[in-house]
Amino acid sequence: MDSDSDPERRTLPRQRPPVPVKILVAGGFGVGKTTAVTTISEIAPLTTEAQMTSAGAGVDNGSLVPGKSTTTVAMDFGRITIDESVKLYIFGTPGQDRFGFMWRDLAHGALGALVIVDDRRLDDSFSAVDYFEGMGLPFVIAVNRFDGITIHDLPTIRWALAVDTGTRVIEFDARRFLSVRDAVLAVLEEALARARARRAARLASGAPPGPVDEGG
Amino acid sequence: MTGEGPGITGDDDDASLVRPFLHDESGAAEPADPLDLAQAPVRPFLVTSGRTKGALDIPIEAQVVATPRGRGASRSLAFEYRDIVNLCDEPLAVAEIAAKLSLHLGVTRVLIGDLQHHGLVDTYQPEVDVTEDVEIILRVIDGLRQRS
Repeated sequence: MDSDSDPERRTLPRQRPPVPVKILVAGGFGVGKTTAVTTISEIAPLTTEAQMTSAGAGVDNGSLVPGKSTTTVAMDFGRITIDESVKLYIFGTPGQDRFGFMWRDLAHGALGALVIVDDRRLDDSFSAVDYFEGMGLPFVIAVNRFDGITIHDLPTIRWALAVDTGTRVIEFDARRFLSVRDAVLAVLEEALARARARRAARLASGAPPGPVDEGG
Repeated sequence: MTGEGPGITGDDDDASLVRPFLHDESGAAEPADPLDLAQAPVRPFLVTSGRTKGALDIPIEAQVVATPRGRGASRSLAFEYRDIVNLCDEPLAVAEIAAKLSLHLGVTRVLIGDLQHHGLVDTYQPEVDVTEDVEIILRVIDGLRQRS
């Protein structure tokens, strides 16, 4: 390739693709996942179909083992372009208990999850809480205020969901941008805390620093 | 064991690692049209014929961009392959491509794997684990805070 004669060809990459990061929005059916994704996304939310293994919930090993039955489910997602080099994707995960959250694809590499709760139907959220606890993914519980009303106060909800005091439980309104944004920020702050803790642990153990800017 | 490191794709040795569920999808997915295949300078694989583990492991948020070669060849590609290459003038996530083309996510991933294998698209995913990347997370937080 004698491309040296063409200075514009290689010196400037046409575009350096952004780094994609993602968070999940989970919760029971009709709890406001799609509303939240729609509210925060800069694009009209997209829907795609994917395969989900319908096996028991709470199992951390999501490898696709032959013989397990699979279900095709629809998944909504949105996007926020943070800047020219980072894109945030927000995936609404199908929340029904029977799917068992065996969607390794979706959870792998996610920064964290927002578990949306309708406090009239708290038990719809159990499987999501179980799953994220089991896989060690940072998550925040967000009680969706339907019509500004919540039936239970947050301590009661925390107690009912049996989450430890380290887990944040907040209220939000899935229809309001700033409210959803702040809920997503809460998830990201949890993700940040975990990343910092891991980095500190790595440094303490004398391991080489992990992420290095791949620039060059 | 010091050969060139594999790229994003898995090595061809991984062909035996095709996941079983994709075999199921072969029925649902439209088989590539043999007529168009005959004309294609790049011969796309049938959807399920021996895709590698690497291709199937493309994360759904990975960014896909058409290569100059892909853009040049897009007119002679068949159906979904052409659609994907045309769509990926700008970087798009695998999931976005699936949604825009109304394709099943698993099928989309295989097709992108094919295109990547032939050098018609590039896929980009973070080389580091973003969940441990404090700087990236901080940038996302700062960027989001500025939105209102």
